[in-house]
Amino acid sequence: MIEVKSVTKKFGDFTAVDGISFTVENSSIYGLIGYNGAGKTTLLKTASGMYCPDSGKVLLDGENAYDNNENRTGLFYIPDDMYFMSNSTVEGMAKFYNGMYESFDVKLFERILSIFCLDKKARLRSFSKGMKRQAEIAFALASRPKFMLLDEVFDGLDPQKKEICKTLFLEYMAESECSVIISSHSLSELANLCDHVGLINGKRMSLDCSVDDIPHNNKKYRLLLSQPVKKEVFESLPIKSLEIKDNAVFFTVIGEENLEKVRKTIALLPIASMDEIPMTLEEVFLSEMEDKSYDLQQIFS
Amino acid sequence: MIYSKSSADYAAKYDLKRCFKSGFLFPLLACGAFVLILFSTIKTNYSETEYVYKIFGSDMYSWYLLLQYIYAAFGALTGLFSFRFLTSVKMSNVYLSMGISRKQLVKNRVISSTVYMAMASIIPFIVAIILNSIYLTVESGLIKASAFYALVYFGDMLLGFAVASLFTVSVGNIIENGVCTLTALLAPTAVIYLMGYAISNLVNGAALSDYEMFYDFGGFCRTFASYTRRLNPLEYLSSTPHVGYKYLEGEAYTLSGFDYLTVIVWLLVAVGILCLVPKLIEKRKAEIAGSLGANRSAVNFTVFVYAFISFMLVSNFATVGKWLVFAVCIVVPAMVFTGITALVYRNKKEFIKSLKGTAVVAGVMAVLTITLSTGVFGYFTKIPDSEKIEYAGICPSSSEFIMASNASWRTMRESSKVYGPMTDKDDINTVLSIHQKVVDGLGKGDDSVCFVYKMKNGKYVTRFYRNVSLEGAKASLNVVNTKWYDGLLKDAFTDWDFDYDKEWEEIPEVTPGTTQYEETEIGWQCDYISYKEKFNLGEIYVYGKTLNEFVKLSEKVSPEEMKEFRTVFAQELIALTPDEIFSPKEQAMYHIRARLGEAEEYDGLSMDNIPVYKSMKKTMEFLTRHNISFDNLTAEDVVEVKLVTPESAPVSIGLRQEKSTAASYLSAEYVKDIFGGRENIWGDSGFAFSDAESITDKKLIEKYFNSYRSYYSYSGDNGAFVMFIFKDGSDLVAYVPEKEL
Repeated sequence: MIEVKSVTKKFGDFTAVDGISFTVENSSIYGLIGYNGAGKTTLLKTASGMYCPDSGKVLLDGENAYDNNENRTGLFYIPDDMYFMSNSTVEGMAKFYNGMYESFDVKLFERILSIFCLDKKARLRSFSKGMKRQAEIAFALASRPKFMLLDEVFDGLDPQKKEICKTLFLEYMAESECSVIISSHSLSELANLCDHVGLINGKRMSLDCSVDDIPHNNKKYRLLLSQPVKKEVFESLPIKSLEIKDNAVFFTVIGEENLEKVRKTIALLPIASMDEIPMTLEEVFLSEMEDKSYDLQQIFS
Repeated sequence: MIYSKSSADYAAKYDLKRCFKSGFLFPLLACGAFVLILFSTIKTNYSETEYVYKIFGSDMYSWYLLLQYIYAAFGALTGLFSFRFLTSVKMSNVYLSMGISRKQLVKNRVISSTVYMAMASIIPFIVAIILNSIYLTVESGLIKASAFYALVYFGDMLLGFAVASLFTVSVGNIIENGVCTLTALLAPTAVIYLMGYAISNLVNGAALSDYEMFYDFGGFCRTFASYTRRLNPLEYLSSTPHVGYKYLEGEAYTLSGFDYLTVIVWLLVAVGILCLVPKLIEKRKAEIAGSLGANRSAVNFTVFVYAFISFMLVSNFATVGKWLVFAVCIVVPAMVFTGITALVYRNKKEFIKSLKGTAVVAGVMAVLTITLSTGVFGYFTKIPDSEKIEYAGICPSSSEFIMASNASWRTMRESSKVYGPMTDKDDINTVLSIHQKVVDGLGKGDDSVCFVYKMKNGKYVTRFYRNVSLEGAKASLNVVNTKWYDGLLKDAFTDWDFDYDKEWEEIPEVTPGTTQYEETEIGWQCDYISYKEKFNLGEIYVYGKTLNEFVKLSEKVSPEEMKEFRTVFAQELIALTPDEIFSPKEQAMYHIRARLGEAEEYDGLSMDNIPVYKSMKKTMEFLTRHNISFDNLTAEDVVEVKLVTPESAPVSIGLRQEKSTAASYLSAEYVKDIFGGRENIWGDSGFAFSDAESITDKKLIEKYFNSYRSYYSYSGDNGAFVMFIFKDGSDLVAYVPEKEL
């Protein structure tokens, strides 16, 4: 289990991550979503024990992650910016991980390589970005870690390889009770891989829930009012994307708590008809990110 | 799934294995370089003479000093290589997220590197011993010396490794790391050498120089580096006698406790630094990997070193002006500090923070400048108490000329000759009064004068003054008015019972325990005996006025008459006043010269000649009585006079500079022998008379011929050098004083 407890990480005066908390249970894949620079990589590096948080802590099976080698023996971190020893072959790097991880399974490694159709004698510098990713995933899975931290791990992979990787991750997780945190920009990738997602917005966690709960806890509303209602009524609610056209009102609600509040309020309104539509993960993400979106018309006008 | 505690040990063991696998490169290169040097020395020496080959031969000596730098450099490279994963973002992502602690990563790299570095230090000496056993012999002394050197090189390599490791775990950027490491390792060398330069520029009176001075005063005026060499981890070997060489030369040298202590202290320093590395790596923020200026302390230290170096370099302006030195010595280092810091941070906020450092640098430099330029608040211009002095010695800048005028008691043209030791109270007071005049005229001229006092408590007080006024320097010529000097002349000519061998036997031997001062004092005694030998046992030659003919006096007079000559000549030399010696009012009628062996024609023109003036009546009377006369050349024999003033002489000749110092004495011969008076010897480029005025007017020729001096001090005198060219093609160089022109 990975527990991220009120983690704050600063670089000088710049706060990269501010008081973020979430928990990744065993046999669980946690998807970390956020716009560029939201702090996902910082959070993963903190969870990997590389960065020391300025406040809060990350616990791996109840023990502090920072420079805790005993605990990190079961941790594998695939950074966005991969490292391979200069001029090394796939086999050479495998030897390295085999030396560093006692649980490294050579046979498993070779099986994964054959799935990816990678030559173990080939030099890694001759690989494309996607092939390097595949090799790195093979190293990670063959190391049989208990905690996996994957930063933009699907970046560069073709759709077929993405599906293979997802299957591998899910299989491995089912077998090993591994806790996985995966950060990605591709929401569709995470939607059918993760069981939980966290959305970092403005260095803070704005959403932390089970994927299954997303449609239940996040709704789009379409109201047709029988008589006009002051705009202020809606503005006081924890809603987003508010749009009012005559008696028609459109808005979204993110989060179970907010949903409760909204439901209580709109029950008192003169409603002619109401549509409550479950939101997809992508819609939730876009809704959360609306503050950061650009007005392209203004930019290019 | 296996997640036992043994996993951490497993990773640690594998990492150690990897360190051993990859960490040998730079130690191997160091070892290889050393072995290569050893073999190249064999080739050189062995090809010359069968038994000349020496592992610790003198050919290797300079290599042994350089190898300190080579080993430290390879040690540093080992450190940079071993810990390079910390300065790479990609590598630190992997290494710092795996099941191995930061401390363990350090431990593994220190262990493997230390083993390799120890091997790199020991193997060359094993090879050396094997080579010795093949070509020479192996004795315990050689093994002991080898062990000592191996320890020295291991210490240097470990220090290089420790410093590189320290900076690698402290800073984020590999280039910054390299610069910091290089700066820290070379800082002692740069500071020690340049501090000597700064002290010699700023502290007038400190008997320290930035270069090795030779001869007598060299024993007292050592370089700052020679005092502080043991403080330099890369040069302390040069302060230790060449152990192996001494051993093979049969001059047994026992390594002192101090020699071992130096090595051990530096080893401990390296170990101490290495002990800091695990603590610092634990505090290291992984996010600084790859970033520049992440560690302010490292930046401040490195930049301060460069600021300090700039201070020492610009101290040269001390000679330009008092106020300029303050401005330059404070402003330039502060600007260097600010400039480099701005380049490192390239950030307004950080730059403003660094201005505190600028203020500190300016403050430190101000304190240093004031301290040094005031001679450490007057310490170096204080005159010693005569009651506490056991002996005094003085080294006027013109020392060689003083003696040449009356008797060259030492080889000519050597600088930094010390007159002494003077133990008589009056002599000590004379030296002290000269000292006072020199101090009073500091900063008002270009001359230099040195003093050495041995105090009754056994300590030595040595002073080396630069920028001494001409008056101060001329005052130093009063050394000829001392009893010591009179005694010297008397001994030289009239020590009838002089027993050369016996006196040599009484000279103490220089042993390993002899101090540099004692060694210099022994040198004085040796010179004194050589001087007496020259005049007591050597032949006396008499030259004429124009130096074109000479006679061997022993062929003209009996031994008894020779004694009479020596007596009267010594008496009259002693009676000469400084003015009569340095600014003679008349021409020399004869020139006396002593030498061991036969005189040669060229020697007759040397500076060793002692002029005999008409005022030296008894000497003149003796020579006349024995019909010693010469066919001196006359004005009629002169076809041309070449005339040059110091101001119009070629700059390269140095006569202009000499004019402002008391060293200008005897310049006529000086010009001739040193500065190219002879075209055929020195060539046209250095020929003092190359642009001289040519005079053929008979009246002028006669005037100059009747007024030239073969010895004269042209300090403050606006006379001219003349070269008389005679009908037979010979020439004579002399000086015509201002009043005679």
